[in-house]
Amino acid sequence: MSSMRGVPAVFPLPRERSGEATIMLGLAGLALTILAVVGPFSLLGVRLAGSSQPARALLAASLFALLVTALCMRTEADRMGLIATGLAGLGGVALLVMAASPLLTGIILLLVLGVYISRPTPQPLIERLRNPGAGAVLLGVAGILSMIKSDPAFAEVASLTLVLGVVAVGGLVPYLYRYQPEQATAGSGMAWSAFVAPALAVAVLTQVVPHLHGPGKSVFSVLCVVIGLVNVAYGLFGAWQAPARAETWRHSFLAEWGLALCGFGLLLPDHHGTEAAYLLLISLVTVRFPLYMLARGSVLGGETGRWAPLNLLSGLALAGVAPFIGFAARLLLLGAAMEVAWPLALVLMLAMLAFVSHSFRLGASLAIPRGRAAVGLILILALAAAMGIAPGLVLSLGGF
Amino acid sequence: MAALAPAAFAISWLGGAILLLSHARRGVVLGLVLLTAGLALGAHAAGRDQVALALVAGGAVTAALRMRDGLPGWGLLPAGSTPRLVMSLLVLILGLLMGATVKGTTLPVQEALVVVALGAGRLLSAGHRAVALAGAAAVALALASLGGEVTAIAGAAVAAVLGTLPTGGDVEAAA
Amino acid sequence: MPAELLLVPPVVLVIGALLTWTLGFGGLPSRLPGAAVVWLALIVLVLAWIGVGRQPTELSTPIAAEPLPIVLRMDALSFAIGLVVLSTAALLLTFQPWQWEEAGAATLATAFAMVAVEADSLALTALALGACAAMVTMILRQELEQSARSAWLALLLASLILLWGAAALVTFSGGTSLFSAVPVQAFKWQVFVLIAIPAVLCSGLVPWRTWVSEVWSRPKLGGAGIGVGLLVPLGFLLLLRTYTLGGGQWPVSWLHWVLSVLGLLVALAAALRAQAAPDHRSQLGETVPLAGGLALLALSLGTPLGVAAAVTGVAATGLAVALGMVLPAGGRVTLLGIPLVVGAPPGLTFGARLLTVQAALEAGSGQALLTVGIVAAWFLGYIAAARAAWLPPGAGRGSRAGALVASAAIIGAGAGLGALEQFIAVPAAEAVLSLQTTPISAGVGEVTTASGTFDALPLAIPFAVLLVLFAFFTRPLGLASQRREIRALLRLRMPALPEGLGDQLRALPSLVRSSVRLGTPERLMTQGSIWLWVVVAVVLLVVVTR
Repeated sequence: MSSMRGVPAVFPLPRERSGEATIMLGLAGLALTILAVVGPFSLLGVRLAGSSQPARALLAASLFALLVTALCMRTEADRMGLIATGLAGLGGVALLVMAASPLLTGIILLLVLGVYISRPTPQPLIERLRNPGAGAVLLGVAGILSMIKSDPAFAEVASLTLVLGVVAVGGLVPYLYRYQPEQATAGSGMAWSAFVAPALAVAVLTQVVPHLHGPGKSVFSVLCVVIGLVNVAYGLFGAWQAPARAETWRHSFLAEWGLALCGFGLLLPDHHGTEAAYLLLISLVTVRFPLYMLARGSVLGGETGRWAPLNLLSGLALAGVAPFIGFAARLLLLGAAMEVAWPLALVLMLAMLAFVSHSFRLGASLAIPRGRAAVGLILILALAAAMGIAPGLVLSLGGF
Repeated sequence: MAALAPAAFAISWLGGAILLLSHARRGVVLGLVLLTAGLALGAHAAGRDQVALALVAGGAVTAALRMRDGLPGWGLLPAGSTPRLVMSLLVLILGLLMGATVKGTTLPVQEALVVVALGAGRLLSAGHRAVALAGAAAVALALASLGGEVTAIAGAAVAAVLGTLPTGGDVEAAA
Repeated sequence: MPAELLLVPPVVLVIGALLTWTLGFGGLPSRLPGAAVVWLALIVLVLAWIGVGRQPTELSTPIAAEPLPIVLRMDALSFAIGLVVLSTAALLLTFQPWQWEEAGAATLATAFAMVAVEADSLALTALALGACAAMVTMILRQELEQSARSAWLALLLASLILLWGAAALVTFSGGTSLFSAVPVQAFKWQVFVLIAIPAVLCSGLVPWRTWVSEVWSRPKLGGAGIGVGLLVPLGFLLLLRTYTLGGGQWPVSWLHWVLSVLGLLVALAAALRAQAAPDHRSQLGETVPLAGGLALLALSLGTPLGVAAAVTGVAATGLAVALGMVLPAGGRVTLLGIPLVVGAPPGLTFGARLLTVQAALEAGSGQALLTVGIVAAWFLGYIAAARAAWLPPGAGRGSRAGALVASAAIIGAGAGLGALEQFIAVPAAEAVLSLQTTPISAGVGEVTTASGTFDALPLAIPFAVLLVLFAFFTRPLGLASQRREIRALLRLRMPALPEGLGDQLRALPSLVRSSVRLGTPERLMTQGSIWLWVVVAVVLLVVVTR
């Protein structure tokens, strides 16, 4: 056995060749992304892609967000590095989107996790692996328990592990990831929360939820709303207390995710809750995440916040004010909440209002974007406004 | 066939427990081999031979590749193993209880859940990449044992690929 | 004429905004395009309304889908409010000093306001109003950092509550918020409240001092003018649309009383503040809630004359805002403008107030009592205007030409009150109250209601002459020697909080912030043992399977 010591790894990624390997992985990721976005297909009689149209739309949105973010990078090396790493990650997300069951999602998540932890970083291993690892295990358990029909309690526990699995991958309360602003985004929990988890959540939940019945459905609904509200509250309070603007950004992601979870939990015949969640996650991926990436440089550089028109517009877009995409999402979410219970709508409305001032702080943290950054910012805001004015198109792209 | 099920459960648990309680190369590989055998036996007992075959292939590849890295030796029951030992016993008891509760399915749910629990314990308490990847492979194999053929092949393939990934040879502190 | 003409005003305005920004960015003169396109949009609006035979016209765009169906509708109400919005914006953009960035944003805000005016669904109205409020907030912040807090708080709160109202309407109506498709039964009083609150916030219709008055004290008045000029009419549009949604009625009758009394309180409080104003601009700022309060009262009466008076009041407020914003700090033009703003004959403001009194008298014996309050507020406004002649001018600089044009517009509209009622206000009232005819007869020169006839045109000529004589043959306003301390008729004293309570209340947020720390739970979740995560899962498991 000891003779196996010298066997080289298939993907050795030594330091001098890691760039090339990342580019190769990036190309593979791009191919997978295109395959997943194009739609379900069969190879040798085996259906290879999942049928979640909203997840495919989110994947396409993630690709857009990645390209826009890369466009804003200051140097060519940064840009190529981000594109390659991002595409590789997107390939993983594409595989997750293609998975047609929680069981398969869990398996593929383990693969993505393996590739993720194989990149050396200064962060302790346990901190890197426990969110996606716990997520994979919980989703897998959800898949296993959903096969047992002998006792309705298994359906309830399956719903619980399903929700907790998504929460763990997204790094939400109660399974928060450790946020360190100076850490590279590609290797941090932020990448999972803002880049991987949205598509994963939409893929898994939109496929599983239609098959939920009875107690399993109730548990899923209540848990999503409760955990969603907890995240909204935590995000709001955390942003209020946050010592640094980077922390405010992190908490804004939590609050937005919280709203999306509430949307997923509002299971209604007209699907308004799910539609709201989908739009919120689209907004998170295409607006909030790229803006975070743009702001990160100025925040870490200690630049003073500004109130230029672009900053104000960014603040408005982040607050979900008309005419940006967040507005339509909030409209649907409040409508769905009204259908279930008006006090819930009231709570959500107050939370949305409370986050407005934080959103302006976030907009100001972009400092004064110049050159490529300004172009990228205008592009993001234009897209957010276009999607906000015609949310019906975005919904139809997601199959709603 | 029915007589094979208890044996499959026992072997799966034993493999998973060894994986959880070991932090060095030989112990990890032994755990992987045993749990693969247990899962494959369970699949065979359920009349799913193709799935069993895929599991054996995936488990064998990942176990073999795990021999090339990690700490040398068996590394069984290192200092600080008490919580993991307690966990492995708890999983055994819960697994047996589950066996009494789960009805109406021929799938080896009991074995899969036990391996998922123990593999997850290994994955989420790993101090070294090689051990973490072994835990991930164990969970992938367990999940694969319950799916259809595509899922089984995918799980086995993922387990094999996890074996190929570099570990960098570093030993990091577990939290 | 095709219904596509409805799209022209907003589209022209968007193009104008882009043109303004492009020219400004290129260092070229960029002041004119914004103003020119607003005038153009105004002309197109009038032509389009005449072109469609002054009949309600709808236009569905290809991207018409829930949750935001882009359906535009032009009816008599949208024409009336559109006219107010565009004429106010045109005067302000023409005669106020603008930087190119803010001019572009103001033009875009006007475009959004026009979409709100033409929107055929509450969801689209909410979107457009929210966007307009956002642009106004942006202009205010751009002009003067950190000084628009009350404005953006009120406007964003209004946007979000209206969003909730739209969502509630969609829920109750079974999936639509189209004005023409919502069943009357779906328009419950809860939805009404969710529409009325944003309306009140946009138009500053509360008895205390709001952003609508505060922005008049800013050193730069561009954002203030466009904000008040656009959002005050839009607030009233929301309230008027509630009649459309309810099939000409409000869901419950007590709402009429609540809003009537609110309107009166707003007007009286504003009048009281106006007569105790510290400077000229503050006094002008209070004339907006004064006029708005009276228009709200008229609107809440629920009668055709009341609604027509409200529409007239909104039009008068728009023109008064334009005039007030461009009034110079002193001089004869200011002496002409101030009386017109506060409702001196023969201005449109005077006509609107007269109609409001008549509407209250005709609405019933209970409502007739409100006329006492209306007249009190109206005359307190006169006292405030008289006192303002000796007050310091306050911030901002005006435009003599602009003030003359706006004054002429107010006098002209006042003289043509009959025509204005006949072609604009009464059709708007008929549209929202779902009536075929109203008991108001209006000719070119007169307005006749049950309580009497007002000969606007014949009376306008002598009054206009008197006003001009007063303005141009007395001592000009604004001389330093004229300034002296004039005591207010009624001194306003706010009750003080018990000693130390105010400080404690202010310290409460920081107390909460410092005493509740998220650090420990966050550390446990992110850096603690994985067993904590397991415990959380087990606890939840026990809860869900209990």
